[in-house]
Amino acid sequence: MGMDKNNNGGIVRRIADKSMKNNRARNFFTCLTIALSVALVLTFILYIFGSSKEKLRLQEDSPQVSYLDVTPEQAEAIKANSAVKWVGTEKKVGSSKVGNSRLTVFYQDDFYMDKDKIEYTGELPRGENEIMVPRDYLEQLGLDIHPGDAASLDLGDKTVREYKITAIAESPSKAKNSHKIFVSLPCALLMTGQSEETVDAIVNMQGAMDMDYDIAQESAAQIGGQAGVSEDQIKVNDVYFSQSNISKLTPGSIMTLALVALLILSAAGIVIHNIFYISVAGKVREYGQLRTIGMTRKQVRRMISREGRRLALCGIPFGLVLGGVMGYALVPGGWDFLNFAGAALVCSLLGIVFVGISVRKPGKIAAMTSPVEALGYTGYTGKEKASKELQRSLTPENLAALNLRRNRKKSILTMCSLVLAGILMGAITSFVVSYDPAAVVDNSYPDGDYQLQLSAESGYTNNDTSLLGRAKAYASLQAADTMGEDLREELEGVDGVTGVKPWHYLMIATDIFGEPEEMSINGFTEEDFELLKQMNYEGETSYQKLAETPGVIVEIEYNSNFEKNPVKVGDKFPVVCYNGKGEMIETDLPVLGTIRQKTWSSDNRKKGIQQKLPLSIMGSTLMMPVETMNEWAGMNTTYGYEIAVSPDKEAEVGKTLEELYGAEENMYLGSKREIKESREQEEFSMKVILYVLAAFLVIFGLINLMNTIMTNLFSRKRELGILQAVGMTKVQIRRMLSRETLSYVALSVFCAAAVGGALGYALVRVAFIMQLWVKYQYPWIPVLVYIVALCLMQWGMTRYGVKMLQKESLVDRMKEN
Amino acid sequence: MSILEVKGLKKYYGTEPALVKALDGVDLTVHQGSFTAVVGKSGSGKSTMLHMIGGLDIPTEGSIKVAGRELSNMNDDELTIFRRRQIGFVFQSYNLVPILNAYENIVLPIELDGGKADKEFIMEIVRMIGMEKKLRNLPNQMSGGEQQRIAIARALAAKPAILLADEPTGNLDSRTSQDVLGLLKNTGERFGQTIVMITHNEQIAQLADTVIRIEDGKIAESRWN
Repeated sequence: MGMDKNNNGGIVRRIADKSMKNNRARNFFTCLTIALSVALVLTFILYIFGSSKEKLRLQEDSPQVSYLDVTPEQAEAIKANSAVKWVGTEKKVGSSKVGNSRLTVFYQDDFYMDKDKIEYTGELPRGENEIMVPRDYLEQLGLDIHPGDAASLDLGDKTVREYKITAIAESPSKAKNSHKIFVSLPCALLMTGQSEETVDAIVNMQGAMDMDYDIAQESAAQIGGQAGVSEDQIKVNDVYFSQSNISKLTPGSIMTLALVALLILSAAGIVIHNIFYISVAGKVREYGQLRTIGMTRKQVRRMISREGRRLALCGIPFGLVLGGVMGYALVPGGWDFLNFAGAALVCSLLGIVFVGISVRKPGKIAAMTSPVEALGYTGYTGKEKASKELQRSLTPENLAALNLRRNRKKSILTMCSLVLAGILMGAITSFVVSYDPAAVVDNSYPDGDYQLQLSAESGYTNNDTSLLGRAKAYASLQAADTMGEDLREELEGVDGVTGVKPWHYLMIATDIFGEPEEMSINGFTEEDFELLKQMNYEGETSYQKLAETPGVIVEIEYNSNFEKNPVKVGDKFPVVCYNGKGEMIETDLPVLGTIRQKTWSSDNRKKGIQQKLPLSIMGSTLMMPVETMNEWAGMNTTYGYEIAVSPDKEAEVGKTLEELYGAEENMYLGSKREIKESREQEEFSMKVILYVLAAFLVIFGLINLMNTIMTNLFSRKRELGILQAVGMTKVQIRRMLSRETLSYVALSVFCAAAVGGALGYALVRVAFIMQLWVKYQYPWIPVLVYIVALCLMQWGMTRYGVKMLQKESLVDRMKEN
Repeated sequence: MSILEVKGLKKYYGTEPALVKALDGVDLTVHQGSFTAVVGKSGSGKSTMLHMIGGLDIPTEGSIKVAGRELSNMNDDELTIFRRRQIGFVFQSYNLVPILNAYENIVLPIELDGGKADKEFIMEIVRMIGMEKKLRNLPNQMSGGEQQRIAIARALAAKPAILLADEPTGNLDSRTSQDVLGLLKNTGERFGQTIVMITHNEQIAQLADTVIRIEDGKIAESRWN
């Protein structure tokens, strides 16, 4: 065979495979690291894609259009239209307070009931007096009812009737005191007093997910037109179309995913690099021998690469299984096998690539070993020719320090991966403990723990739900002084209530954007005006002058319609509302001032300031001085009260308020605590995924530490044997090794606690500026857990390692490799 | 006075029928201040015997007394401490600690014992081995011969009861071997040190006062030079 022929891949493979058999500890750590990193990246991908898929799936099956008051024939025509995916029919009867509960009564056909996933026992109501009642409502009433039983009930229309309860809904009601009562169609017609049978057809259009709002409107109109339904009977749900954009994956979320994957794989890559580096350093003589007997540099590199590849192929499948299980567990509703297959392929490829990169340098080092070098190799790569001092302290602790310096590169590499894991852990847990989505509720409840406000949402049959109808309904409640001084005094008299603050609100109809829509005017005080003037205010600066004539201050940034329909000081726009006498007011209101609240809020956030806004300003587009509004409307425009309570009496006050006002038809009582709890539940899975990421990073750190300790021991077996031979006891050896690894632990702890904490603070600041709900807290518990885990690992593995070493006799350990 | 007494020393590996009898009943007495060479072919059991005497390995059977102390009664830590105080080792492959300089390697057993080295004594040894100028050098900055000199100095520094040398010239060229052996003998005589040396080389063995031949795990011959 010529010198240029080197066709002996087989022997390289065999040596690599044999080398792997003799390196079980390294193989285990490497496989574990690869498996964990692949699992983590896959979990993240499946979580993000799965969350989107889950939302899209729910969206896909949600209706977008309602055709109101259609005849059965029109409903059938709509159903038969090929542009329609499915149709369900329903009929809203009404909503009213019965006792402390709000009952919403309606009819739904079987198909729609199924779509809503209502679980029930019994038979669905068909006959005239047949109904289905939720079990938790029956329990509230203290009734022991079975399907088929009869009961006398008032369903909110102030008429007690004998109903046959043919079914009991088992799905729990969404709110404690709010229940849905399902009635048969004949029953619904009876309750509404309608003679002609009409229903609302609820429609899911084909391809709706790819439509925008305008196209959906056209499509809905076409379907309606073909069924003989007029345009004013058609309502398209605009929220559906804005939601579907949110549910889809954005370039931003893909980028975040890519960044997270890169971070995880880099952390794992450093660990794997370190594992192989230590392994190669411990086998220098062996590589020297191989080079002596004729193995080329390329063959040595191929040998190391093969070892890395084999370990990758071993670790990746475990990682895929673990990642798949975790991805499914986090978002079972978003599971998609194709997504999993694609993500698994990407993760596998990434895993192989990163392992290949990680072992490349150690492979080069092994390949560069010269036979002569290998013979004299002591593992010492220091640059000094001789020590400066004649004798340094030779305590085990100082020997440890000398050891760390002997191979700076190895020490730095080990520290790097521990430090990276520590910093990321500190940063991520800072963000997680600081993320407080429920804090948005504090903004909605700026001056109280409860809010008691007007409600004109109840009623049966004759309710005018048009824009003006609602404005009139609310105005009549205000004209009747529903939220008057008597009520205020009553609230102030409740034991535990520390403050009662009114807010003022007048419902109007306006076409400020060219089309009639419902808006409101919020009443502000002179004190509120001082705050408004800080918000890039333009217009009249004197409160007195402002209050002289009815006019409004307009917030021109939050509502995007102002981009196409800008307003400025001096403009006028038409407004319709009702006064205290029930008379309609039609007038043009002048714009007396404008504010740019969004810019002001953003600037404040950049400075780290978050100012709580009073209800009179928060979320308000149109604002008028309270006195002016009251005079103009000819009534007390108090809409509600914010009720502050003493913290130790919060539950008690809540109960009292519920008893006093829970059954009031025209009032709604809101609780800050209940809403917070509900929001915290919604955000729970997001926090879980971030904690999982932090936990994985801790595990990477621990694996690396474990690997460092074990390979430190086993690669210096001979040297430790010599030390023992000349008289170093086991305790002294443990002290020396402990001190070495303690240096790594101390640095990692410092990085997690200080650097990670600082980075976490920066992350929280950025999130705050981006208007995420965060309130900085230092992650004491995760950091403490990390410290304890590292210290335990360091202590346990050092002892274990020394014990394992003793299993081999001193003589055997001292033999040359 | 006997500084080393070995009685009925046995070391077996494995079990029947694959039982290997590395040592099969060795009796030996070494007097203080003497230089004893143990010769034998490769696999005869000489290194095994040295390891037993030095407390590096545990015999299957038998008694070893060094400076009146029975080694078989000691646990691992006691043996280690005994080694650092009473036994000096010179190995074939020098076995210096790579992160320590020459001087530090010499005083290591004393420092491990928490003691302070007798600097005058150490320097006397250093002058005898001719390494005054290389005390700050690290092992990888020294030749094989220089490293072995430092190893000899380390073995002598704690004034042990016995110095055990396992093929001390095995990795050295003939010229250096002569130098090292000369040093071993001279320092031994100078400090009244008891030396037991393993070698397969009959010529080297002639330097010793007593030569013991081991064959098949037993002492075959013992003669005085």
